[in-house]
Amino acid sequence: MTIQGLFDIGKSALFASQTALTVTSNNIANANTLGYNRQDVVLSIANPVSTGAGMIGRGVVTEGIRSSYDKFIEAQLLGQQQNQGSSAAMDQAWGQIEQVFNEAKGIGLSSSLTDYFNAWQDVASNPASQPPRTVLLQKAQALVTSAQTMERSMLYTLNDTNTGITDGARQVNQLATNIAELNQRITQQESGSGRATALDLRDQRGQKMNELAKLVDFSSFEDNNGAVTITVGMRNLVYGATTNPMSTKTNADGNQDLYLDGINITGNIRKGQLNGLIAARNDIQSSALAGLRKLVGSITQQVNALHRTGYGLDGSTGTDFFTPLQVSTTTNSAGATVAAAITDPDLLTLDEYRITVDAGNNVNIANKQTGALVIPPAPYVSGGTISLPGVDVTITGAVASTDVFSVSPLTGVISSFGVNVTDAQQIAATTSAAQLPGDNSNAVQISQLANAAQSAIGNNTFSGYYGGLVSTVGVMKQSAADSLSFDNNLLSALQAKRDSVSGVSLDEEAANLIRYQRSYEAAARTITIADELMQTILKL
Amino acid sequence: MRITPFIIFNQLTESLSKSMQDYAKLNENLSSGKKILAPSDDAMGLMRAMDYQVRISGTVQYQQNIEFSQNGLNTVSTVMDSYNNFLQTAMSLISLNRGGTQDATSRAMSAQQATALRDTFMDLGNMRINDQYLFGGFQSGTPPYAAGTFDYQGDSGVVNVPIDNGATLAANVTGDKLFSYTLSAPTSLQIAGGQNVHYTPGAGTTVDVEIRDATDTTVLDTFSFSNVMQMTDTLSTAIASNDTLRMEALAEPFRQAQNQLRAAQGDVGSRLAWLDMQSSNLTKSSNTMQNSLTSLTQADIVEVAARLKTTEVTLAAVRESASRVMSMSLFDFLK
Repeated sequence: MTIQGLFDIGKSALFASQTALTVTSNNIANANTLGYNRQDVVLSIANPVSTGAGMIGRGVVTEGIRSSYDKFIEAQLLGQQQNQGSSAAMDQAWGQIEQVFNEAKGIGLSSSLTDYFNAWQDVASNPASQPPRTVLLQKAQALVTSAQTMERSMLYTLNDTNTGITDGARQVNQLATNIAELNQRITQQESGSGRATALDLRDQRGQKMNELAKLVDFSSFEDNNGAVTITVGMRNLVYGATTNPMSTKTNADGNQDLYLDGINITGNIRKGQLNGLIAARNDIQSSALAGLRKLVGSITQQVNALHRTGYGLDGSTGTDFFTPLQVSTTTNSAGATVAAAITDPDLLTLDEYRITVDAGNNVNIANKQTGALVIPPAPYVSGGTISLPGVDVTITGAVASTDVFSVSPLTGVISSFGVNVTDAQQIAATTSAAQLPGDNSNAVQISQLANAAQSAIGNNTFSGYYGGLVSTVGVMKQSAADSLSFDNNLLSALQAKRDSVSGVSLDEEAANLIRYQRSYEAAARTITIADELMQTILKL
Repeated sequence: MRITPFIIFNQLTESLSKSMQDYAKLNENLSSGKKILAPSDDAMGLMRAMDYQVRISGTVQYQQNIEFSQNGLNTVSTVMDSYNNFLQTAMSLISLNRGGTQDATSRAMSAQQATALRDTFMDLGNMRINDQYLFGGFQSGTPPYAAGTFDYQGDSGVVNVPIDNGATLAANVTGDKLFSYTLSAPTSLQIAGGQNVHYTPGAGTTVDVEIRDATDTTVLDTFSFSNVMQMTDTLSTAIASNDTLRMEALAEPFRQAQNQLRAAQGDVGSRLAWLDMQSSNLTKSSNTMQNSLTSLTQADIVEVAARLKTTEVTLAAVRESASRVMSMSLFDFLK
């Protein structure tokens, strides 16, 4: 070992300390950077040299920079981000719906429903008098307005969820593009090194994947070049440096479906914000919205049925109190159209129907909610009439096995809900023209509908059924809030766990700064001493 | 476990957020006085509360209906009291004039009084409340008794008013049940002079009267009536003409009218008693439900205030702890 060897040892120590100080400074700089994994320098002993006195070290070598990263925790974190994203979306959507049904603050249908039927009792008490009839029309209008306000609010929320799904798909595509670009840069940077050296790029990609996880569930794997492949709904979203854009398309029900690589993957989305939005949308439509529509449909049907049999003070009869029910249809076919007409409003079951054509050209008509066939499949006849309870359906044209038609008396039931009686004299409180004006028996019968079990709404009373709807909404919101709370807690715990491994501790870095500063000073001192030794030798 | 500033910051943020949420919720509980602020607070509880509210509202409506019915029946009752007095006056006129000993002037006065009674009965029969005729049945828009003929133009329509879930009560009395009586079978009686009077039921409340001699073979007189107005009108004519046979023959129908009135008074009295009892039951039921509703939905102010104070202390502690922990750094101690 020569004196020059001392210089080399000092130099290696200086370089090592300088590198360590740089890494420490970088850690401090990124202490608040999301997704950053703290780094540290890996030092090792330089190969010793053999001397007569034995093996003597030749200083220190910087092996590389290591990122503190726990794959297991990161995978758990990704999964939990997906759960939390779904719960948050559900909680937000149901939170909005809960306010539509917030009977705790008097918001909803309950009071207007009760007032309406109470107003019929006032008419029954004084059937020939004008004031209670006028009040009844006002209460009926209040009921209509309440129901329409509630439906409108729900449709706003549903529209928001559909917009959220479209926006979510756009964000997914943006993140997919980012990840694909990072894949490319990581692959280029690590090419030939055989190691994961592009630490900061990997951290950036990890963060993008975390953001993606909030939106949608995916599976991923890293190839030998360091690029990750990401699959969503069993289709590739990111493959190396390329992406398949996710898109949305309006389905037969007017909802947004998600497509990837040309395939509808809506049903395969299990977690993430997109799943939360899809699930909340479907649940709201099938429970709260469908329930409210069925309630209004049942009120319209029952009140109209009795009102038509009665007589107004002006002698009118056969008048519907509310705007009569109508059926709406949707067609999802290239060559056929569907039409439907009510044949007997009293026979309508208030069920919605989904009509398909099977490979054998048979028409299948199923209850849209339960999926059960309502009549046996029958061969398709263009223009033939299919009779369902209270409604005749006609399909005309060339059908295909992919065709879907729907017939519903409920879709427009609230939007077209209105008071049909315009003159208080037409209010049919009497059951017979001969008993005008003092007979109140029809008004009594209509008022008693409030306490009667109705088959169309599961043998509940109107107010009982509505109470059930409010309860359902409350339970759904509570469930969503509980899930969100649980997922938030778990996410926090996992983030804390991740931070304990990968997070930057400023105290720790402060200590490292001192440590590496002292190392640097000591190395410099070594060089100074070597220099002095050299001077001494030169002066001999 | 390594602790980083992120971990501490997240913990503090979550604690602050949770405490603030609790604080805001309790504050709303306190300011609104309500325990349930949204369906998700207590879905089943709110459903029960809504059920109570619907039932209480129904009870209030039934009580309004009862009040309306009571007003109508009390008016009917007042009319019946007057009617009873006037019937007795009519019977007094018969007693006074049936002997045929009154002079012409007295008879003329009695006949005039009978005519006035007939008109009073007409006024009672055609009484109106809120522009509706009280005794016309369903024909409440037209006078039940026609001027001149005194025929009943109403019907037997009973206006049933809801007084409870599934229960109704007749809130009116029709003229044919009050100012007329229905003869179920022919009856006969012998009057003071030995003559026989036969009463035969006709259409509706019509009674055909036939007066025969003592041997019950020769028909001396016939007339008909279907209500007390027509009876009184006949009486007036009979007094004026000193027709003692008709006066004698009318005594029994007036007694029957009085019996009919007593039955109607009993019926109305029992209906009013029922309404009183039902109103009282509804009030008790409403009070019970209101108590249940209050305990279900109203916040316990003392408890909420105590919890609010606890949350305030927690919030202050979290803030204090946050300011201390966040300000600590090794960098502050390095020279």
